[in-house]
Amino acid sequence: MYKLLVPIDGSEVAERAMQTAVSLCQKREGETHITLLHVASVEYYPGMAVASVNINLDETVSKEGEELLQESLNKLKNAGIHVDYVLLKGYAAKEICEYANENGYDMIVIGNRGRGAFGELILGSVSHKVLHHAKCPVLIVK
Amino acid sequence: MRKLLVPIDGSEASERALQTAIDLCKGREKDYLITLLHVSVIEYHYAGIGIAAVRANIDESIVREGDQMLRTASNQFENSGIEVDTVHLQGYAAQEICQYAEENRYDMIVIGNRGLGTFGKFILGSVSHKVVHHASCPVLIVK
Repeated sequence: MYKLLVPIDGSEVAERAMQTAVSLCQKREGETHITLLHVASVEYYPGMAVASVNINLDETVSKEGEELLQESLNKLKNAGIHVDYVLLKGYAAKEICEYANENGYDMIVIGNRGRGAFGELILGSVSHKVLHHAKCPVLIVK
Repeated sequence: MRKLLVPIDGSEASERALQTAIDLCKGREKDYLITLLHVSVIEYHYAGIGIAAVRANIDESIVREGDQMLRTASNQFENSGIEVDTVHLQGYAAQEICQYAEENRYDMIVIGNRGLGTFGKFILGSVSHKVVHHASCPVLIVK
């Protein structure tokens, strides 16, 4: 089984990364597996000290992530590829690499920059860190 | 037809990149073309060597080495069922790689994270780094 991990964050380039992953699986749908991974950045808001506010934010962020994953999964359903999704919480690059390493993925397919990166950067901070810390090959999609 | 460009320089990482490219084609060999590209660094590398005749000899042997490298690499494709060709260019590696990929509409560049010239502590060598930045197609970085 050829396992591809595709981290998504709702950006356009993440969308293209997903399409690239699908095209990599074409003609061998039976032996490939795509996992869509979203990392919800949780407790990222040091300015907000009130615990209850934090909890609400956490919930919203997780719910949004869940929706994003479900929507993306639906788009891939008809491609005939095994697809599942995973929602994690934490620092994006760290979670992506850990998940890929622990679960023996063959490749990470990731957009060159996500929602957070400035326009002038070719490689966003998350993609950059993933490239550095992943043990498997990393496909950078623009 | 999907076209993969695999720049090779004789390093272990480029060897693994080649293997990864072959793996990508498995089960649909007929749909893929893999181009092995080697870029010979010529002239400006040897700024210190002023005598023309010496330089001509060095240039020749560098080109011969590159040709040999490409032949050895393409031999790995025997019986693989994948179409392969080789291209030998001269100039600045990253620039030639990106230009060639763009002009010939490759779907992907598959490249080692660092080649022969890079120090151990860098995860991404200068050539791979530039290729990630300047290529217009997806770039697969292999470690």
